[in-house]
Amino acid sequence: MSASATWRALGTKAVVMADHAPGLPAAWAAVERELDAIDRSCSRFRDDSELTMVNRAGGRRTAVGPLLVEALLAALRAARLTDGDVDPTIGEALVLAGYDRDFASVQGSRHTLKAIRAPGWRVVEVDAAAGTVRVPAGVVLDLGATAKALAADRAARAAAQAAGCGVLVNLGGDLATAGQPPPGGWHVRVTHDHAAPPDAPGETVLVTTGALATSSTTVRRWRRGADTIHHILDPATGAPAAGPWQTVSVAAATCVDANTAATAAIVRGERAVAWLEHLGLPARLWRTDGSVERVAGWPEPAQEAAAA
Amino acid sequence: MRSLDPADRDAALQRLRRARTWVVLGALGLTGAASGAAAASFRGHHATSKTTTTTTTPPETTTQQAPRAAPSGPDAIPLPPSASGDDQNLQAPQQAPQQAPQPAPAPAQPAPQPPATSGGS
Repeated sequence: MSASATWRALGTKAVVMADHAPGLPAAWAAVERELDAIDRSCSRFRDDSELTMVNRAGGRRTAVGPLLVEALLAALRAARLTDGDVDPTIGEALVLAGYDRDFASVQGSRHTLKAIRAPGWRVVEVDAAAGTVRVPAGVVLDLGATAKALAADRAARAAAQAAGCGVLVNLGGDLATAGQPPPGGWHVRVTHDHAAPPDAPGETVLVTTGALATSSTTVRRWRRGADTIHHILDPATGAPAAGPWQTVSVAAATCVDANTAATAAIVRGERAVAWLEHLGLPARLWRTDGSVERVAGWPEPAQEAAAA
Repeated sequence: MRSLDPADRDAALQRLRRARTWVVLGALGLTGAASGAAAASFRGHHATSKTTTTTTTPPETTTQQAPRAAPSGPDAIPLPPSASGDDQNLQAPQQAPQQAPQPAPAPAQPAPQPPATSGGS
């Protein structure tokens, strides 16, 4: 018998599901520990986080712990593998867009968005051996595209080991699994908003291994001048990505890879279909007109398969 | 040229044989130690290959109520690989998501766990 726990963490909804109910308390505790550690290391919104120290160092080298080093290496790898479509130096552009605090506190503005392109991930210097990081003065790092996913990966691993059974960790729609899945797999509903009710538009798939993440322009939206903007900015322009996709879900071996691909797909636009197909990443891309593209083995929904 | 007594020669040959034996034994010992060190260094890769095998095996249990044996150690839990720090390309899952069957009406059974939801956040 499976069991789950739900609570608020990292500014979103956190869920841990254990395939064996007695394992839930240990799994939950392990996930909480991981999320707390990630928040203290990687949050852009905490004055006492290590990331804030780096952002405020004025170009000086800063000593950081191994968790932030790991998170930064994951973010830089994501930037490399997406040719900068997912870039941790997007922080200043997000601040200028108004996303300068936990999203629950973000307010609209009557001023028009002033977009600036990201300085580019190559300006980030990480010395993993020495445990130091340096960014030029004025560069603001934001790990929003990868740190939550990294937290899901780490938490799932830790929870499975602690509980001794299969687990699924869901952090605001970034899902990671570890351990033996339930018979048939984990039921996952993909939709626009991770907080949507079970009958919201979308489809349900079974996940047996790895991770699944969804990026969407339909959530975290706010007003700037006459425009409504969203949080997925194109690092090349600093403006909200304006491609054909409103929501992209990707399955991958890790949640970091899944979320990297989903976010990059939103930024890349039409080119994302061939890119995801080339990488063999099963994905579901939802156009702004409501139509859906499925690539690299993403299954057709049950009713359509039956009709075909 | 120094003349060598046969007894001296035999003793010298004995010493040579002993020295050769020690050299061979030493080489074998060093080879073993180096192999052990290499095995320990690449333990992570070994665990990953175990993960592949375990994860692709379908679970044998068919009922969710059945008690499970406790795993014998960390290696018994198939864990996802770490994503940070390497230049490997974005990695596909070992198995793509599968089509979820249409829920069949089964009023006599307890309601299943609601699905996890993946959406934007």
